[in-house]
Amino acid sequence: MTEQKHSLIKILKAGASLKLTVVCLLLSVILVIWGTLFQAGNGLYQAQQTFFHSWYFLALGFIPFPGTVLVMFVLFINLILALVYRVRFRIANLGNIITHLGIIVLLSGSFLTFYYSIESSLVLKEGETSNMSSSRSQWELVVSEVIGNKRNIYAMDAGGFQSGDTTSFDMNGRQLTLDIKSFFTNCKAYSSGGSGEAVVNGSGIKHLEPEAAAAEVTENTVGGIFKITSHPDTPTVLLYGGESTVTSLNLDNRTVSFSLRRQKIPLNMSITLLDFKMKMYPNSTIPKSYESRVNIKTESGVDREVNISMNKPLRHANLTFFQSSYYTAADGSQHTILAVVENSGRLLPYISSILIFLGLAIHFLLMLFKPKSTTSEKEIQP
Amino acid sequence: MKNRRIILTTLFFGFLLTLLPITELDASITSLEKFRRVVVLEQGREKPLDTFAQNILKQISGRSKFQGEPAIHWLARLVFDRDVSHNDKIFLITNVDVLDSINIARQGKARERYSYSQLNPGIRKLRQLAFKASKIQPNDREFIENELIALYNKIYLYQQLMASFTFLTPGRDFSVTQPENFAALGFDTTRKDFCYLDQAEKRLQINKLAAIERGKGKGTGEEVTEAGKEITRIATQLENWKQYYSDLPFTIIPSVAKTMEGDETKKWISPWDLAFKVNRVIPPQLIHLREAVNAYKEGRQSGFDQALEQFAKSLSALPGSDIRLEAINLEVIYNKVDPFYKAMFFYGFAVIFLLVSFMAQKKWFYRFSFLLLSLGFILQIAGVCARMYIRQRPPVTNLYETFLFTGLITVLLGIILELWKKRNLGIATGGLAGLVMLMIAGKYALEGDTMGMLVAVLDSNFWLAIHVITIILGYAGIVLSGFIGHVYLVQKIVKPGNSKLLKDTFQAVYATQAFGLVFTFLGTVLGGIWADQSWGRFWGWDPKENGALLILLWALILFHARLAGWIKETGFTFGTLVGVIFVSLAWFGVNLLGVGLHSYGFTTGVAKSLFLFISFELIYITVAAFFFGKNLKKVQK
Repeated sequence: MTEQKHSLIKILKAGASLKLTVVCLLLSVILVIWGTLFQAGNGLYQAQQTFFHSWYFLALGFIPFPGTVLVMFVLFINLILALVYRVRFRIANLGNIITHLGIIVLLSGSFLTFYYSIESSLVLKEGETSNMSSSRSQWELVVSEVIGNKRNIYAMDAGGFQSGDTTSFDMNGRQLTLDIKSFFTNCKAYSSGGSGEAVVNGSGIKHLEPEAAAAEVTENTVGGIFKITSHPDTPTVLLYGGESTVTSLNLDNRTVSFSLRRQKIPLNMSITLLDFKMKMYPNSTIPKSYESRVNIKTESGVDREVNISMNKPLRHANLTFFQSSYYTAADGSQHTILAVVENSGRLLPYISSILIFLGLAIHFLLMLFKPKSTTSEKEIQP
Repeated sequence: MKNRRIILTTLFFGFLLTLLPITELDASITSLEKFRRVVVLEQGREKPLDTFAQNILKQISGRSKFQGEPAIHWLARLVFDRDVSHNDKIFLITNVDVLDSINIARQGKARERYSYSQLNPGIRKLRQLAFKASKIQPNDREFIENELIALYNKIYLYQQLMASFTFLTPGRDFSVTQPENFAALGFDTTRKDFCYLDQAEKRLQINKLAAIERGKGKGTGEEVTEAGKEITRIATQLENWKQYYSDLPFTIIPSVAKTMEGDETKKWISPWDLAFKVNRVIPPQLIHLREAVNAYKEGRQSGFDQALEQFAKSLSALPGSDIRLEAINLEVIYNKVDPFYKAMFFYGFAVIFLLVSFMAQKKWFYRFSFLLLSLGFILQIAGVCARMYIRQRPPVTNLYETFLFTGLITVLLGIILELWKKRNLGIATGGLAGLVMLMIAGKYALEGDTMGMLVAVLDSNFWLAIHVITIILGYAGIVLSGFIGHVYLVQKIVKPGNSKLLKDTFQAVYATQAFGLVFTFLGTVLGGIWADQSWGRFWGWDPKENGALLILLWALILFHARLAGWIKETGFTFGTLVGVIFVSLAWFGVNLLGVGLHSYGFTTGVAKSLFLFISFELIYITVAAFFFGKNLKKVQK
């Protein structure tokens, strides 16, 4: 064996060490405690971003500390290496091995979910149809223009917008460049006040006041002021995520509309809310159940009615629709709020649970029927 | 031998006695058995008045009894004879500043109970202050503002309950004095007392006459007579009283209503709501209730019982009256037996007799203590099964029930451990753990109805049973392992040479921890699957989820660190104690954080208890570690 190969195998064997497992588990304990306490004051979303969905973060502002993703990744590698280099494959060990295989599947599933799943929400009024859901935390800048009997819509992810940046659209051959004079991830809108710079806005908003990020990510409303540098004669545009009207300008003899909205995610199906039913327990205001009767249509010919209720979601293709909540608008109309999840790794936790349960069952059955001489610890080399 | 038989027989009869209903002592009416069984539909659940009375008294007074009597006695006084109940000191005030702000004199200590009569002069001011406080956002309120609102709500509830039968109270608003009216309405001229119901029975005539009076007022020239004025007064009051007495909480009359969707659903009403509908004939339900009220006031026990029996029978004619009578009766028995309170004593005595058996060195003390533990267990399992039958739910639907069920499992594990090992360990730890769980449960019981309805997202018997029960089994294992761990550490300090004893004890620690690990793991994973089915994500880093994960990770660390050679038996055992701290944090600490989807059980007393428990554990760990450090030094020397 060459020197290099020898060292590589030494490193791999070290990576299989049980001590590394314990260290990773200890780090997980610290992260879970820290993240949970952090959540009490800063909200779930911030806690997730800092502790649970990150590879690392800066503790106290400057000390790098591993995040949950990194720890889980190391555990994943550690477990695979352990199964390759450390574990003895014997019948007595069968249960243990299956259990740990199940854990590998669980970790894989969580990586898939973390990287590839998309969560969004869909709000429908009784009678309303939609084929797109809205992101809960991501926003987009939308520019649209009508040409003849067609409307072209261009949407750009506003997630990376910073005050002072420039962004540009290619509108069917025409270039539209925007200077982002200011952009706030959370702000309030006012119809008066401000530094005095003239802005144009479809709802009459004149001024945006930045606010600290809300604990609930869905409570943040973005806002920005944009100067269209490709068309210097146009006024400065102010846009606010919470408004329902667009701001229109005349560009190149066409009416172009601007707005900020939560990112729309296409569903590849259309869904109509036929009826929303809510049942309370008698003589109380405690909700007993609520459900939405919807009709789904796809281009492949699906056209059917389905009931979506608590604990009984609608699954179609890669999408799952959950009855999340509801609200009654000022005019008395009922709206259902559905949570929409697209997650191809959905089944992995189920598979892993079965494997783990099987592994544990085999392990304990073997222990019961084994002679009481040896303990199982001797089967695994630390 | 003879002594043993006598004591066993006494114990047996004593146990039977605990199941008998408590005798009730009341000045005039000695038995409220029929009244207890009157059904009220409130907060989505049909329950006996017995439970209803307890829940309200708990809310107002912090106790489920008043001066040693069951709450139903207080409720009876309140609805039938409120002048007496106004002097009952039931309103618990924990913050005397509240009294000062409404100009009521303080009475004695800081935490006292006051009567309605004592608080009455300050009610108007209380109302003003409470309304002002309620306009402030909940997060911005001061502690005293929340207290003012809470006290006002309690007073308001009390006032609404005391008005339950006021349609039977004679009053000046409905009096008839003019001879023409006696004749017109068909009343006996010698009659002096008139109540709302008396006049409601004549509503059609009264309205006709009142219409004529209104016509007179519009200038037909006719004089308005005293009789006319009286009729107008009575008619107006019949309408006015409707404003004050609609929708009272004493909803014992079955009825139905249409929902927004158009279906019919049960919506029970109070006797007052039925009285509003009277205009010529008094329905049998009100006739029987009137008879009951009169019998109570006059102290006629058999008349009272008969009236309530007939009232119950008369309900079947009304829509929405289908109820599970067996569940109601069982609930009354369950309330009377109070199985969990009694089980606590059995567990406590089991531990005491076990300690006695160490000193006295007599075998039968041990057997006696084991018997006590088992009897307590029987009581507890009977209570849990009764709850399941009454609610038609798996036995763990709210925080209170998790303690009942976990206690049950730890005692069961203790009994099994004892049968397996016979080293007193099972009785000691099972009994102590069971006792502690029931004491904690008792704190949660004071919050109100422990059999409340489940909110929509929890409304799945399948998942509730599987996920919650599995994770409770996990918690029980970890907790029991920690309790045995305490014993192991003491044994190791006191008898370090007795390796057989230590090996046995450690086996118990290890086995129970493994049990706990497996079930916590399964329960957590099942929770994730349930979450995937209802919220769309397997794991969301919710505090409760994190709590379970923490317990799991810690148990995993203990097992893997031992395999890695980093810790041995003693280290492992210290670890199990830390595991118990994590369990208590995960169990009810996270609910105190107030965030996340699992935030459903906040209780002020709990935070203090949790803090005390954790402090105790940390002190225990420190002291034990100190002793080990000393022993280690001795060995090294």
